[in-house]
Amino acid sequence: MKNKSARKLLKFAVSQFTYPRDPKDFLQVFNNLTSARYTRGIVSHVTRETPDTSTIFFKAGDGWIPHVAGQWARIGVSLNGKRVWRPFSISAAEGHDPSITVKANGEVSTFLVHDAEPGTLLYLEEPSGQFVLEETPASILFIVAGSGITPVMSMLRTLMPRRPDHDVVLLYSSKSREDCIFHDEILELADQFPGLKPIFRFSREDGRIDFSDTGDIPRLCPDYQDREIYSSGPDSFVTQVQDMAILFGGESRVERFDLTRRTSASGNGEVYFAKSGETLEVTGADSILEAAENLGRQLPHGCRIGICRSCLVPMTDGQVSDIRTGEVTHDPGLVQTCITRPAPWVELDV
Amino acid sequence: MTATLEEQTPTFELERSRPTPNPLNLTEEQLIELEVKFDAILDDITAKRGDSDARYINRVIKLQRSLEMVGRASMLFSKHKPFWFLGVGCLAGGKILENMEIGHNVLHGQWDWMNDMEIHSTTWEWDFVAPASGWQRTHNETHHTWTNVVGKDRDVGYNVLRMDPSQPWRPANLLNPVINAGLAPMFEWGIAIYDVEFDQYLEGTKPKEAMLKDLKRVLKKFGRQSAKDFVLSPLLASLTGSAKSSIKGYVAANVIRNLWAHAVIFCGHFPDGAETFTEEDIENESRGHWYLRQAMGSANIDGSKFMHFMTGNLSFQIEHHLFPDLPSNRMAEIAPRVKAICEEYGIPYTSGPLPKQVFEAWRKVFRLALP
Ligand SMILES: Cc1cc2nc3c(=O)[nH]c(=O)nc-3n(C[C@H](O)[C@H](O)[C@H](O)COP(=O)(O)OP(=O)(O)OC[C@H]3O[C@@H](n4cnc5c(N)ncnc54)[C@H](O)[C@@H]3O)c2cc1C
Ligand code: FES
Repeated sequence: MKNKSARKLLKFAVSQFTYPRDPKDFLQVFNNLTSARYTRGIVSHVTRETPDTSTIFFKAGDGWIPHVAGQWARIGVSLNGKRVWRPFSISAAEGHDPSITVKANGEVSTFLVHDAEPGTLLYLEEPSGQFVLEETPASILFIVAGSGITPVMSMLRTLMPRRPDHDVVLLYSSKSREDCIFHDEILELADQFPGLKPIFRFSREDGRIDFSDTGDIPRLCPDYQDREIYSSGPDSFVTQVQDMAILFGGESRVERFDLTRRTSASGNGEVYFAKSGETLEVTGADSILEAAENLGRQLPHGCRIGICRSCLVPMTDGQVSDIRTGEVTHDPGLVQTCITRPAPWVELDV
Repeated sequence: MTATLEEQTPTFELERSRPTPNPLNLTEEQLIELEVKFDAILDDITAKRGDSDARYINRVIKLQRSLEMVGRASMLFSKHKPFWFLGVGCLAGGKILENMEIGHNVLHGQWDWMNDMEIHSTTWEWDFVAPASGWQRTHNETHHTWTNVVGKDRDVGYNVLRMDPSQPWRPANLLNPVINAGLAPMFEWGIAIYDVEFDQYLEGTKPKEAMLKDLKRVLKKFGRQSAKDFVLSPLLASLTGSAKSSIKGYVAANVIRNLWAHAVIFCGHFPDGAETFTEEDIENESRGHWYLRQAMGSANIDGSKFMHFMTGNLSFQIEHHLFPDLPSNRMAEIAPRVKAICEEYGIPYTSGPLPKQVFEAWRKVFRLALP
């Protein structure tokens, strides 16, 4: 307490000399991690996991809050000079230095996988998200696909050493053995902790998982109905797990990494921004958020796939449709720009 | 096309003293061509800017902050002459960079494309008495929109000087040179007061509350800026017996910055050849026409790379006025292209070395002191 007020006093004193700048602006000359406006991170090392996936370890500066296994954080990078943000799950165990594991898939992820190196600057927001373990977890079934393994890896790395005999089944689908992220580490964990039973599926050889009640799940994990089900990966995959759980009256916790767009919800539309007086053309299957970014305009956002609601803006006129369902909303109120598009015209108060 | 242009050149000389909407008599078609050509430069640089530009501004900021820290540290020992000179040099250089290559350009939004709130026009505050928000209003909104339109662009004389023959002469204008000589070393205070737009309040075009709010902001910033350089820093220096010398040092650094900024800024629109316009000139102004006005109303300074850097690349005033949002480090690259277009259409491209431009601006100050 005393320490804190002493620091505050010092900061106040120093800022009289740095005015109108924050003292941190000057400290930044000596330490790249310091920033008056952001929590920064610096990449400490990068490990290639598969041909298109890397784990990026970083040191986080002031303002970072240690993550809970399974959470994600919004991470910003400078892409050709421009700051761009995406959500990534933290793959490191709780209490360890943070890391993210990224699969090259588009502009930000490709940069992280191929161009991030020790010293690369990252911009960080606090970890958040509800995809976390129960206080006293019962037996668990994880069903993951592709890079969906990342939050689950953090959970396994955290949970297994704490409860070595905890009953965990991991059903993990990837394209092939070569594309299977953390394959060897999972086997090692299973060796060390007898409670963990991994089942690898390689869709190129074994085909896709059949989620019907007479399909793969009862065969691979007969007591699946008695387990807590966690699933993470692409929307299309996770939705099947959710549907399966609903069918037997169970529950599932899920983390989606993307969204599935309905092609019927695409076409041309127009957004009028009441505050700036600008009109924005939205084409193809783009959301309002993406269309704005393509034109160099920034709108607030977090997860970009309709979960976190940090992209809400007031709609004052017109209507929008949901890019996932095609559902049209015309009641004035708040709309999520990351999952909506004009139908075919809308006025937003931004 | 070239033939018609040559025919027109003589009339241009005649019309110079009496600006018309289109002193070069460019045809509608030519104005459209002009628009297309200048837009092409804009699009080209917008597409090209990237990592190297971002690295550039970050490096300049780092350099500026290092200079400032060395300057402030030296001032603590400024009773020793070498430290005094080092301190004044670093502080003056630091302030000049902060205000011009960094502050002016950041506040223009030249770096907003980076989407970096550490270097953004909406969050930046500079080491200059005039608060950023007020300056953005008078400079970005008024001066850059109404460039050299007498009666609209209040930067034509900043309300206190008569800088254009079309401004009515008043006896007070006899003081033109005195006022300008007084303004130069106090430039930052002059701009701060100017941004309050007191004259507009008197005219009744600016509400009292808005004026008072701006005034309060200026006074607050004035207080903190002065406390920093002229009270607290010398107080700290008194620990080493350097209080007096450091006050002198901070005054010197501030005055050097003010003189330099004043000189550079007066070279932007007041040397011979930079045209002024009337309100009728810009009625229904097209974009091509707007470009034409920006090019004709501005004047460049020729010099070394270092000189351009220290002017915040405002030495490329013509380019800056054509493309106020393009990053300053790109001006040198754009200049030959702009010059070529100007030559093609017979648009005067006013440029000269610093002493000549300063001389011409001052000559105008003296000449227009008289009716
Ligand atoms: C909670 C959460 C956690 C996540 N965790 C991870 C993680 O741990 N590891 C990981 O690798 N990723 C993770 N992601 C995904 C990550 O945030 C990015 O979405 C992903 O890396 C792709 O971003 P990008 O910039 O590389 O691709 P983008 O350039 O944004 O493209 C993304 C994908 O969308 C497609 N797309 C873009 N626009 C359109 C359009 N108009 N119509 C149709 N398709 C389009 C592209 O083809 C591409 O496949 C997570 C996402 C969420 C929401
Ligand atoms: S950005 Fe998270 S809901 Fe839209």
